[in-house]
Amino acid sequence: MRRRSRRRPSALWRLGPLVLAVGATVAACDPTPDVAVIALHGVPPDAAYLATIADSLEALPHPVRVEVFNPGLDPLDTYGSALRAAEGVVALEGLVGVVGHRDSRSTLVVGPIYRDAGIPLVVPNATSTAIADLGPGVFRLVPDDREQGAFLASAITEMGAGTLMIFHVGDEYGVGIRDGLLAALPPEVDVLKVVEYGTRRFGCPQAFQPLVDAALLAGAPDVVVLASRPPDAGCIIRLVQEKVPTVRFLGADGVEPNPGFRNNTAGVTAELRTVRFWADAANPRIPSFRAGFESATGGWWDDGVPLRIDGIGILTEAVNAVGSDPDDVRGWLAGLGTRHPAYQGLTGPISFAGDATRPLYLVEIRVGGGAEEPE
Amino acid sequence: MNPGDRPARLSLRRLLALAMGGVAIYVLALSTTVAFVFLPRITTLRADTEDLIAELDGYATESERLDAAVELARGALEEGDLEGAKSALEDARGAPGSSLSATGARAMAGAPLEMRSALANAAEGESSLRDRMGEALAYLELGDPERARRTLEATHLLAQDLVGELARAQGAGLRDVQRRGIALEEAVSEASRVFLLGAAAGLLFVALLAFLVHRRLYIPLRALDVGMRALGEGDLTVQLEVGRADELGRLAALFNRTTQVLKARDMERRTERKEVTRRILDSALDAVITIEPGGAVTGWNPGAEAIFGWSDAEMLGATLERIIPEEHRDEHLRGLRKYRFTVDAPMLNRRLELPALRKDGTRFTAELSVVPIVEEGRKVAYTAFLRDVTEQRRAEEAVRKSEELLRAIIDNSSAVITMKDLDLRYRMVNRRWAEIFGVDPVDALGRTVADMAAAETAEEAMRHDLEVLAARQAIQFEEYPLTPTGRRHYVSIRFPLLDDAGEPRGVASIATDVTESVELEEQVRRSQRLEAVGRLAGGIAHDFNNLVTIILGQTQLTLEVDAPQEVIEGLKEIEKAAERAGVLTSQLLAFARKQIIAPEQVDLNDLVRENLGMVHRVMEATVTVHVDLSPTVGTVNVDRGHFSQVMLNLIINSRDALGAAGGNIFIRTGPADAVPEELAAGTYALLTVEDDGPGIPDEVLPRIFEPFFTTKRGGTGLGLSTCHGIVNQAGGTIQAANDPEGGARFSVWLPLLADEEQPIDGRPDERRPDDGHAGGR
Repeated sequence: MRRRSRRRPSALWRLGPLVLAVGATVAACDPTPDVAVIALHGVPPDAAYLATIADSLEALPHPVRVEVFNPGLDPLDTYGSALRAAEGVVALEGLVGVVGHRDSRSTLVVGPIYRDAGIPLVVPNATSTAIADLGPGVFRLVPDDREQGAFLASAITEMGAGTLMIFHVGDEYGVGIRDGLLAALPPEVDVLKVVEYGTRRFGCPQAFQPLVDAALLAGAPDVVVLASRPPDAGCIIRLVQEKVPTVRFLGADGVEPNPGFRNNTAGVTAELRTVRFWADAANPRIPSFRAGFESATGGWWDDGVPLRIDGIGILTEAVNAVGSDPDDVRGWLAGLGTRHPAYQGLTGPISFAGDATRPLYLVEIRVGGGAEEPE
Repeated sequence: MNPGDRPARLSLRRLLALAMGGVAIYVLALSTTVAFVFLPRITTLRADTEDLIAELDGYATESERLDAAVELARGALEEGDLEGAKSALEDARGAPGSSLSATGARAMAGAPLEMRSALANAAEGESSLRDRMGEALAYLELGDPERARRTLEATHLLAQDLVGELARAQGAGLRDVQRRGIALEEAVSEASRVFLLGAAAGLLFVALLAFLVHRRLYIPLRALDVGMRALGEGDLTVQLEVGRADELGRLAALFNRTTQVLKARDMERRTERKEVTRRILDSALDAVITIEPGGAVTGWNPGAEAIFGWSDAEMLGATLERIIPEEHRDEHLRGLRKYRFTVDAPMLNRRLELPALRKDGTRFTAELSVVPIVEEGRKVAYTAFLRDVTEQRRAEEAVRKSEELLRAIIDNSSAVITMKDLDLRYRMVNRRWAEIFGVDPVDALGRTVADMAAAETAEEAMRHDLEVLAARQAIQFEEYPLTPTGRRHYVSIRFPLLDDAGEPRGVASIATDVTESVELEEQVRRSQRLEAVGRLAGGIAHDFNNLVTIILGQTQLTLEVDAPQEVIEGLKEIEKAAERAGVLTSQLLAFARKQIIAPEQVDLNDLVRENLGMVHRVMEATVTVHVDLSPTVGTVNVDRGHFSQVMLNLIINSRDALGAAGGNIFIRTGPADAVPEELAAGTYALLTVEDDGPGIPDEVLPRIFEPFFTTKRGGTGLGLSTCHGIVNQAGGTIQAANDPEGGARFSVWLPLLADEEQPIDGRPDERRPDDGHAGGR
């Protein structure tokens, strides 16, 4: 994994074109606007980064403040904490939009709260198809499970795999990817085993050892598809690689080489390709942005950061275009790509036109190393 | 004032109606709110509750199924049945997509907040449960039942946790339903309170508004309404209380000023009108007399002075007795007294004719009309208009008499006189018309000739009427109407009735019945023709007879001379021809009534009986002769030989008419009840010879007695003309006619001898006929 330089660019420079575009577009707006609040379901590094650009956001013609919240994890009431957090968010004075939540299930659980409060919800990386049922106030920035499943199926075809094994977590994310893949998979590919495991399966290798061993009784697959969280994926790769050294791995978007992944794959050499919603080659602004982000956060990075920042960016532009009324903001977002030009975000043009699609990328992960350029 | 002109009244009743309308609108709004706000919410709540219960029931069933599978797998393991345990776990896990995570995701979007959390946690628990079952299954597949058993023991606890989460979700859902129900109840309760308060406030507002409207608007408008109506009825003295400085006060002041201006103008107008009235009265030709209710004269115009002779100085203040004839004064005074007590004045507003008295004592007929003069609702005087109509009534009487005279002339005229309108409906018919058509003159009015006459007759009359209307001038027509008494012959003059503009307004007709006179003329003409022919034939026959006599005599003398046979033969032929010529001459002389006759007084029946033998000899077997001789027929004076010739000719004529088919011939005698006009006054016997054959053609009938006129092949045309001459020479006449029931009838009238001329013992009179009967002229 390559290390990025730790420069500290100014906040205005970091949001770059976003802030400049917004400033130019809405320069003649209300001279004494209220501060519009955008809530971001993020991690503490997000807050650290946003603090560095807070002044620039408040200096916009229509000032914007970003409140970062994180419900945390309550093992006995995982989603109760998310709900309570969402209730706290909608109570924020001046709230014009929310960027979040963490995953598909959380988004499905809390989405109705924002819907009932009339607050637009920008979903950065949840992929469940059920999110569309939350109503017209939800704007997803990434393709859904069905599209990703089809994308994975085409990748399997390109890899020339004859046998396949699927490991997925048993939540909306894992189930959605699995169903999308199975629906699009060509008939010549033989699915040896589909292994579903629980969201509370922890511990490597003991938690996954029996599952992997039992699955491999069905045969040695050419390709293993992983719709798992990074540590789980790392553990499964490790266990399968030991038994089938020639196997290749294909990960859904959730499989990223975070510390948990790296811990579980320590000492393992494997071929892994994963789905990404952006790529450095296709989104040349991201590397420099990443450098700034890491600089502001002491080296933190995850692949969801550009999507979260794009979520904040489109809400900021909406506020500076139509003001701080959530209804107006929702209307402006709905017209993105039709009544207004697409938003030029870090992850590329963002449009909510009916026929708009966002690209998917397949990147090769050097297990035990960092991310590579897309194929 | 018309009902439609009645001003709108802002009454308390209308205000109440207004308030009731407001209440109705309020209730309507309330009902609409309940129907479109609360009822849908209640329906939604009920549907959501049912969906929730069904959803949770499904989840509970699924969790129980998983738990049961775990127990089943554990039991199988206890018994060492590894395959049974695997089968139970595989069945329980089911196909991918059957998990709560898959089915519950969408349900979570619509679930209440707390329930969503519980469902998400339940999904986590179910995921863990399935995860452990998968792990246990993996151990079984790896052949490690002991670890599988331990895994399942923990799995059982997870299943219980899942059930607990689902119960929590159910509780949360039910609490949400309860909360929504309570919220709905509170909303309904709050809305009811708001509606009730609104209703109370609305009623209070309406009451206050009504009070204010009544006090500030209704009362002043009512006063203005009363004032306007009084003004409309002519009361110019009405004034309103101003009292206020607002718009209504200014309106009242404006009203007062308006009435004052109107009053001033009214006074001026009255003065002008009185002057104009005085001038009109002074110039009127009629008498215009004004009296006060007590009867005293207060006005007497120059016209009254001219008619009655009394001056206004004499009449003003006086009563009307002096212009009323003495015999009517008491009646006048009684009427006046009655009016004073009962205000009953039947003579008011009517036209009457009364006798009146002039100053010089002369009387005349006056047309009188009396009208009251009303001021402020009271009759303050009466005006009488009088006119001397003596001459007018006299002229009308003359016209009436003239009309009666004309009517009498028309009704008594022998002509048929009618008048019709442009629709050809009778407007007048005279009595003669009514007699002919048998219709009452009154019934004929308004009807057309088509309603009463035969179609042919009506068509002819209407065609002539239309011709006259088109020509706009009088036209004479020969008409042959069919009347109840038969077809008649009329000469009518039809002429249009024109109005003052010369436009036709009807048609009149004067028609004279010429049926009898035309027939009489025809008879006279025929008789004259026969007379002329007879005279001519008689003259020629006489001279011809002399020549025939000479020819016959000389021929007979020559035959006595010895002469060659051829000459003798020729002379005999000449002799035969001369004898035939003699017979012919004799017939001509008979027709010309110039035969020498030898009349005898003989009973007509005897004469008939004498000739019956001859009759039967000439009769065919197919003909039956019926003889009916009246015993009272009497004695006639005729030449027996000539009578036989007459009877023979008539019988042969009838026989020939019957033809080969035969028939009946009737011979009758009797005294004649009626005689033709051409005969001299006296009594006559009647002999008729009648057959039931085809009758005589109409075109033959008028010429049947003319000499040399015949319809028979080879006939001489002298048979019936000879009969005619013989009967006429006997002082009678002969006529031919067709019987209406068929056949022809010849009637022979012969003068009867008076009683003193009757022979004693019925023997014929031996007297010789006079020269007139002997002929030879």
